[in-house]
Amino acid sequence: MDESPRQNYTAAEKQALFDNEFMPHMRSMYNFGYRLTLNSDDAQDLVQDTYLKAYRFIDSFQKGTNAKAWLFRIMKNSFINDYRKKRKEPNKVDYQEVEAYYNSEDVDRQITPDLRVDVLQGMLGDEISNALNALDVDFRTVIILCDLEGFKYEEMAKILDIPIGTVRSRLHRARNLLKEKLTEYARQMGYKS
Amino acid sequence: MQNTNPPSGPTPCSCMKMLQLIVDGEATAEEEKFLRDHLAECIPCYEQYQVDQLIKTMIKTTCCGGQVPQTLAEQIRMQIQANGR
Repeated sequence: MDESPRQNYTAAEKQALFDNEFMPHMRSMYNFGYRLTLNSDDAQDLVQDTYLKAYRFIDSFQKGTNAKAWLFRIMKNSFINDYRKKRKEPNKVDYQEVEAYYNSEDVDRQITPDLRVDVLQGMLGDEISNALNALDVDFRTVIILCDLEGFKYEEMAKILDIPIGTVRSRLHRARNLLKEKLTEYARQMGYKS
Repeated sequence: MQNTNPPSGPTPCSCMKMLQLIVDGEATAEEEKFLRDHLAECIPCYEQYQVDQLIKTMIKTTCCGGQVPQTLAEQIRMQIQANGR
């Protein structure tokens, strides 16, 4: 699963790693699974799949490294390789196209400068959550990893298998898109820009 | 005097992309000083910075998800045992 040298843990060591290093992240894993699939049953399947893989490949986990990042990487790969393929959504926009579009110069100019602190403070939280869920999954993912789970850019680059520069630009675009959504909600709520 | 701003309203300056480095605690000491100095004198950037900071906090407090189904951990342990020790 990784380039790191294989360990050779005893059964007791495996159990201890699993219990002490992996299981405490269950809540974060479930939430990540939920935010990826937007479905509770699918989220549970993803979590289960992730933990089973983590156990099966436990010898590629190096003690003392970031277990949470390791688990997130497994889940991200499971989501892309298993879940997405199984579901082959015909209407799914290809990420490359999305990224190409948002790489265009226009995007930054579209940022709505009228989203203000007082407008945000008038929101209950549902709006933030809904706006996040409405983003394309790749943009949603960087925001979750960074803002919710507090991963550093370097860790995110490893989890997502992309360069740090791409983490930065994807995050920037994701936030602009999120702000666009929130501005839409603000307008619906009657805030004047 | 030539107007270098694009026509539509207060457009964020080029620092906008870098501001997230402070919001995310990823700026080097040098970048941080540059950006803090800039924030002190650029109102659009300062306002945007506050908005970004608040959104980050709100995501942290409102998107942390519901309860993990109680049986999930047990199911995982059982599966691992079933898959053979």
